[in-house]
Amino acid sequence: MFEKIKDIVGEKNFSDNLIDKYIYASDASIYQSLPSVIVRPGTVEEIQEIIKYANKERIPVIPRGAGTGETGGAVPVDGGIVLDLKRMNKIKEIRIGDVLCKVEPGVVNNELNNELKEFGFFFPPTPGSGRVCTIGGMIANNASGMRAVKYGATRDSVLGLKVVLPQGELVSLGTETIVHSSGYQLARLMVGSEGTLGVIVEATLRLRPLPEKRAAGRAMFYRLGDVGKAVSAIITGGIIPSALEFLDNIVIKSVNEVFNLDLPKNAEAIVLFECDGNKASIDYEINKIKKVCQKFGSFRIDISDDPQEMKEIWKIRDSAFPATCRYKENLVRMPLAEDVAVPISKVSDLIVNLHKIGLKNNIIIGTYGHVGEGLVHTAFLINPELSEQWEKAKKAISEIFVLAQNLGGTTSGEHGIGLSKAPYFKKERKRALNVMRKIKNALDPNNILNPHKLMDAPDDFLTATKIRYAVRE
Amino acid sequence: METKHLEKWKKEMLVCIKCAYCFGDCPIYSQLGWESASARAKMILSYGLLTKGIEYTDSILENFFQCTTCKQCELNCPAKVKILDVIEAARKDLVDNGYCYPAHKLMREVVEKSGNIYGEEKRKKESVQKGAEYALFVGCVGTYREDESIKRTIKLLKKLGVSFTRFDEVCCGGVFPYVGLDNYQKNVQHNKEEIKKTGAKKLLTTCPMCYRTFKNNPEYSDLGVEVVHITQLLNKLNIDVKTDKVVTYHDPCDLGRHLGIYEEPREIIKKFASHFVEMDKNRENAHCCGAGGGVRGAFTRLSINMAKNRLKEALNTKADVLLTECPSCLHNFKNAKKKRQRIQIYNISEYLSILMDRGKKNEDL
Ligand SMILES: Cc1cc2nc3c(=O)[nH]c(=O)nc-3n(C[C@H](O)[C@H](O)[C@H](O)COP(=O)(O)OP(=O)(O)OC[C@H]3O[C@@H](n4cnc5c(N)ncnc54)[C@H](O)[C@@H]3O)c2cc1C
Ligand code: SF4
Ligand code: SF4
Repeated sequence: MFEKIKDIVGEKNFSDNLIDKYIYASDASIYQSLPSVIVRPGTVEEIQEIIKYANKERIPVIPRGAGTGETGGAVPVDGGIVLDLKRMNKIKEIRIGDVLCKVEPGVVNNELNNELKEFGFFFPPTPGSGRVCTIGGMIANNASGMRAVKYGATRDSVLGLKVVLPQGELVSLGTETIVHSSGYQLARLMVGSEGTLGVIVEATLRLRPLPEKRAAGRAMFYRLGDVGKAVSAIITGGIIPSALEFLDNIVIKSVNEVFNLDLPKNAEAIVLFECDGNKASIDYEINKIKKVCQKFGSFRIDISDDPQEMKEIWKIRDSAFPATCRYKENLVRMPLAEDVAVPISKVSDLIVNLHKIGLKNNIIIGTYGHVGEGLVHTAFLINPELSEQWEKAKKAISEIFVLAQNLGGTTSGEHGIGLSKAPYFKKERKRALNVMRKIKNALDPNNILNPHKLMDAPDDFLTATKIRYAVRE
Repeated sequence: METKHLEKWKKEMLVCIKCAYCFGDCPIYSQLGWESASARAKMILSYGLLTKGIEYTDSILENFFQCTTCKQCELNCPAKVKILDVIEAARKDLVDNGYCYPAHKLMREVVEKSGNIYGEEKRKKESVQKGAEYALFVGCVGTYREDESIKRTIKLLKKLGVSFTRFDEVCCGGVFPYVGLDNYQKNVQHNKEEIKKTGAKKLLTTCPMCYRTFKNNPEYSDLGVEVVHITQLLNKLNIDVKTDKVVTYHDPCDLGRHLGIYEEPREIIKKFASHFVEMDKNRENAHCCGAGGGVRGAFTRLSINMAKNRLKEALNTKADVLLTECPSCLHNFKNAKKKRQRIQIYNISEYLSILMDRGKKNEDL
């Protein structure tokens, strides 16, 4: 059955070896489910041929970038063909005159930005995984990062896409212009579609000029509750920082220990901020942020425009994810319910209540994240080999989603739904589900493209596939 | 499969956040392109073996041994996962269960018989003297595969008036733990005794791997002499030659990422070469030459392809001369070099000796 697929991509780019299958069975999420085969196509035509054949034979096809998704988006639930798109990694055009570039889906975010730097431009979304994640994966998940507060998420930088649809047809969506009102915004439909509607094979991306200058700062707070209030006041105070992040004291403690830093132990939270532009605008904005932080009780504020010192400031934030994994000997961090977002005025309620949920369920939840966008990461620290810990986590997770929705927020701010958030997503979007299903059905009548994801993911996220830990009672 | 060595490192496998930062610059992943070649995959497979999620197959053996132990992944890893400890533990467990690469097994056998990894007849050691400051340890690759280069190094040491003696050395055994095998204790003992006999206060090594072994391997912890790499010594000496050639430098993984010696070689080169250029990937980001971790023995073509890749990076600098200070890197680069590629490849000490002779013979080197 897969001989034909092997013929299409050639033996070198085809594998049904058990070890390869075992590795491509998971991404950065908790899930594990083996594909039947993995292929590494090199051209759009190969992808079209694969999809046509898979559609005819009703074989699932799962597009995959770097496999850094945290929700199981690239995990093949029903086996099938994993399309590893990292070979298609050419930057096809950089057209500074039109402030755009055209790239293949396997181009890595930071590699694109390194190229663009020479022209004085950048592609803004800045996800934490930018060193490795692919543009295809970013578009499919509508990824964003610390600069989204000013420059928007990936969707705000996608002008046009070339997509292979689930029956093999190659289509061009969107335009090369900054604006368009010529019909359905179909490129946007593909953004955030998590590989369920088509394989993105080329993207036309909008670029932004690199700012003349940046300055960054960090403000320490004794009380966690003050952080949300300060952040809301910054955002509604008439300026747009280029980053506005926070971390709580679980994260502070972890970062101190793992990276030998000496952040104040008595701080319940630290707010990190950055402004970009020219000297005058930066001075004005930084000063304004400083005043707001002081007003809301910050006991220490450090500011710098020295590149090395700014690096040190951001090091704390960059270290948050890995450091929390080493918070306690027998606990590690699980990517669960990790990116709820709420309207900015509700951020304080969200942060404070997340901690209450942790305490109530006797589970350690570290919080940090792109608070300027209303997004908070929740680092669940559990022993993943004990089933009782998963049950506890499951309860806390459902409370977190209820909290976020009650505050008018959303299930996922940037990582997507994949396999891990379906019931809450379906509840949040219940009035849109019908339209989503109709669209999926119309484009993919045989349901071959990344099946069982998003609205079609199983309701019990713990049994959606095997979990990749050896869980015992 | 029994996994008693992996058991110790379970936390590291669990701490791995699957971020894939370790894909970047991994020489094996760059060559093979499949995610399974990466350090992340090795963490997943280790956990799979440990928890019986996956059974042994020959591909597992291949997977764990396709790693040059270059340490690039550990430097890139934000979670500071002790990747190499996990990989070494997996290799030990594989070997303990009877799964071993024939090339490695053979290497162990010939070392036992002959005292060197190539099974060659012992060569007579010249430059033996009493009361020397340094005991010089050359190592297997230098002695049996890069002897011309080593002859030059020795000539240089003499010329610079370094007080050294050679001795009846046998393989230091540094490679064995990296391929899951135990060192041959008789050799360890032999080296210790021979070093003692020289009366030297310091042990001078030319090979970074041997340097690392004598310095860090617990089996040699009672050596009782200071261990010095030749770049550390040369950097202190007065070097009185010059070249106009464009020169670049390759950091051997054992010397750089493993031991943090980045500056000494550069300082030496800058004393005699006015046109020194760095490769894009240098110091802790220097790409591996592909020789280490038992890869050259078990996967020769893969190893050479990595060297070709690094050589291309050297050629991109437009350098006339590629310098390093490691017989293994040197050997791999020479094997990878095509005739039409005009770049010259030497160890620093070798090149210095050539430059000194040029002074005499007026040759254009
Ligand atoms: C340490 C770490 C930090 C992270 N930080 C952030 C962050 O700050 N912000 C953020 O938003 N996310 C973050 N993430 C999550 C993840 O990195 C992003 O979602 C990223 O965009 C995924 O890209 P990828 O190439 O790894 O895609 P994959 O994980 O391989 O795939 C993700 C989804 O996209 C689909 N897909 C991939 N390529 C294509 C294509 N060409 N066409 C159609 N569908 C495709 C897949 O089927 C899957 O559903 C982080 C993850 C980690 C591990
Ligand atoms: S870089 Fe470290 S944490 Fe990230 S996947 Fe590799 S081993 Fe795991
Ligand atoms: S040590 Fe080097 S070769 Fe081995 S996995 Fe790490 S980066 Fe790759």
